Amino acid sequence: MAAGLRKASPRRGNRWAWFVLPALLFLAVFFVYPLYEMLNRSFTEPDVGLQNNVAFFGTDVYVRVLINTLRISFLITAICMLFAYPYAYIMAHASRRTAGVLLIAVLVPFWSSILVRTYAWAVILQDTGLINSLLLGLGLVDEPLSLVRNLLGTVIGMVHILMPFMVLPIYAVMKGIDTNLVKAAANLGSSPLDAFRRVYLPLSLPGVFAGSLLVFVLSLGSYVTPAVLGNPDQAMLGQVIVTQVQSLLNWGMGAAMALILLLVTLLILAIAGRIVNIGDAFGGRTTD
Amino acid sequence: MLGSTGCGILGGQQQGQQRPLVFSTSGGAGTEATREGWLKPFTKQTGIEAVTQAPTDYAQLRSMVEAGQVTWNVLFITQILVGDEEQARSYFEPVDYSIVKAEGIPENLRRRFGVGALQYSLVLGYNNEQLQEEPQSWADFFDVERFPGKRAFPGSYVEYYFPLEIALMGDGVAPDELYPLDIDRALAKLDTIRDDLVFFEGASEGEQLLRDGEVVMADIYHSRTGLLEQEGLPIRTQWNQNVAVVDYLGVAKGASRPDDSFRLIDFAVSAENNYRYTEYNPDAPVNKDSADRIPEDLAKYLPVYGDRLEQAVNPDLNWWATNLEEASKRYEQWLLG
Repeated sequence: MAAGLRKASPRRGNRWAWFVLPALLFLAVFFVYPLYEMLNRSFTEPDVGLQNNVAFFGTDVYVRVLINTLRISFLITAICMLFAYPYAYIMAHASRRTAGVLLIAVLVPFWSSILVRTYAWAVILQDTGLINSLLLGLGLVDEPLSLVRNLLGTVIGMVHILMPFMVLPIYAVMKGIDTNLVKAAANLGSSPLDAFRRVYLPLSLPGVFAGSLLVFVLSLGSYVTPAVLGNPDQAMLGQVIVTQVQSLLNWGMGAAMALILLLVTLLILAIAGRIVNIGDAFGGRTTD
Repeated sequence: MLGSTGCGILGGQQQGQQRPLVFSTSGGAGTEATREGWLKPFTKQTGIEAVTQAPTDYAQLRSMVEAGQVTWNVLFITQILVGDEEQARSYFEPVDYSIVKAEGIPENLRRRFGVGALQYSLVLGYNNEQLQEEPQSWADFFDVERFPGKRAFPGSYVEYYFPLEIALMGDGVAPDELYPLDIDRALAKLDTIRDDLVFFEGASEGEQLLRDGEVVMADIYHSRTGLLEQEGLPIRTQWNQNVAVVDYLGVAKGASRPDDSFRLIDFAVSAENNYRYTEYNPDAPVNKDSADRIPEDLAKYLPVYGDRLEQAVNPDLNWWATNLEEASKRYEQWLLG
C-alpha cells in the first residue's frame, strides 16, 4: 500500500523515450487497428446499432457465462497466489543452486504448447487415467473420482498453465527487497511473524499485484483449457466467442462479446488501479 | 502476393514456377488421404503442383475473402453451407460444370457452389467389451439403465454431429418425421441423460474417449469407429439410424487459377479417382462408378456398403439452411446449462 500512496514526481522529458516508438508503431498497426476493426463490427454487423450487445445481455446464459468467467478467473488467481507466494519466497531466499532448480521447474512448462499440456492433464485426470487407475488398483476407491470435465479439471489445468505468471513477478520483487530491513525490525524487538507481516509482506505486494493482474487477465481470455478439461455448463466466455466466430461466422456477435469482455477487464483494472498503483506493480516506479 | 503477381505476368505459361494449388482439408487422416489419394496422382497426370493445408476454418476463409487475399483454391464444403446458397455465394465460386464433368455423381449432389465428393455417416459407436449387449438404435443410446456408462457427445457444432436429430430419434421420432426439428423436445430428451454425457470438442477427442474406454458409446463419424475396429479395439459401429452426410468440393471465391482448381475437382470426383481417397481414410466415394473399385475388406467399413444408405437418415438441408443459427444457439445454450 505504501507504494501506492507515493505519487511519482512529474517526469521531465526523457530523450530515450523515443526508443519506445517502434514498439508503439508495431502495436498500433498490428494490434490496435485490427482490434478497432473487429470491435467496429460489433456495432455494424449484421446492422448498424446495438443489437449484438442487447442480444448478449438479453440472453440469460451469456450473462451467466460472463459471471462464471469472472468467478473462475478470480478463483484461479487466488489459488495461484496461494501457491506462488511461498514458492517465490523460497526461490528468492534459497541457495543459488536450489533457486536455479526451482526456476527451471517454473519455466519448463513454458517450453511446451498449451494444447499438449492440456491434453496431458486430461490423460492424467480422466476416469481411466493415471490417478484413477492407481487409486482403483490400490483399492482406495471403488469408483473413479471425477477429476476432469468439471470445474476441478479447469482449475487444475489453468493453475498449472498460469502459475509462472504469478511466480516470476513475485520472485522479481522479492529479490529486490533489502533483507536488512527485516533484520532491523527484529533488532527493534519485532517478532519474526510481525517483521514479515509489517515489513516484508508490504514490500512484496507489488509483485503479488502484478502477478495477479497477469493471471486474472490471461484466465479471462482462455478457452482451450476450459474447453478440454471443463464441462460446458462451466464454460468461459472465450469458448462462446470461438463458436460465434468460427462456427457461426457471426462476427458481429463474437466481436460484441469480445468488447464486453474487454470493457469488464478494463473496469476491473481501473478498480484495481484505485487500490494499487499499477505502474508500481510492474516496476514502473522511478528511483528518483 | 508476389506469387500471384508473377502468375499474372507469366499468364500461367510456366507452370513449373507457379505457386502450387492449395487444397484445404479438415486435418488428420483426411489430409493424408487428400494428398496421397488425389493430389499426387493429379500432379503426376497434369504436372500441376498441389499442396494441402488444414484445418478448413471458415472464419479464416471469410477474412481472406473480405481482404481479397484468398490463398486457398479448393476446399471441402459442408453440405449445409452448400445448401445455403445465399451464404455460399459470398465464399465460393459457382462450379464450372464445363470443366467438372461429374459423371457418375448423382444429379442432386451437383450443386451450384459445390460438387458432392465424399460420403460419410454419424453413427452410434460403442464398446462391445464394456457393454453386455449391443445397442440397436439411438433409443438405446438414451437408455442408461440397460446400457450403463458414459456417452461421448458433441460439445458444439450442431451441424456436424446432428445431436438434435439423434435426441429426437432417441425419443422415438421416426427418421422420416424428424423435420422440422422440434428443438424443445430434443433438448428435453438430452436433459434426461445429461449427467452421463461427456462432451468432446472435435472428432479426434471423441475418438480418444472411445479408445481409452472413457465412454461406452459415442455419436461419432463412422471413419473413427472403423479405424478403431481395424486396430483391434473392441469398438463397433451400429449402422441402424446412421445420419448420412455428403462433403462437397468447391473453389474459394476469388481464388487464383479457378480453371486449374476446377480441373483438380474434376479429377477428384471422377470414377477413376474418387475412391483413391478411401484407401487412406474410410470416407466413401460419392461417385457410384468409383465405389465398385474398393476391395471388400475395406468396403465393409463404408457407409455405402450393403443397405446402409437405405437405413440412413438424410438431414433436411433446406431446414438447416434457414435454421442453423437458431439450432446452434439453442444447443449451445443448452450446453451452457
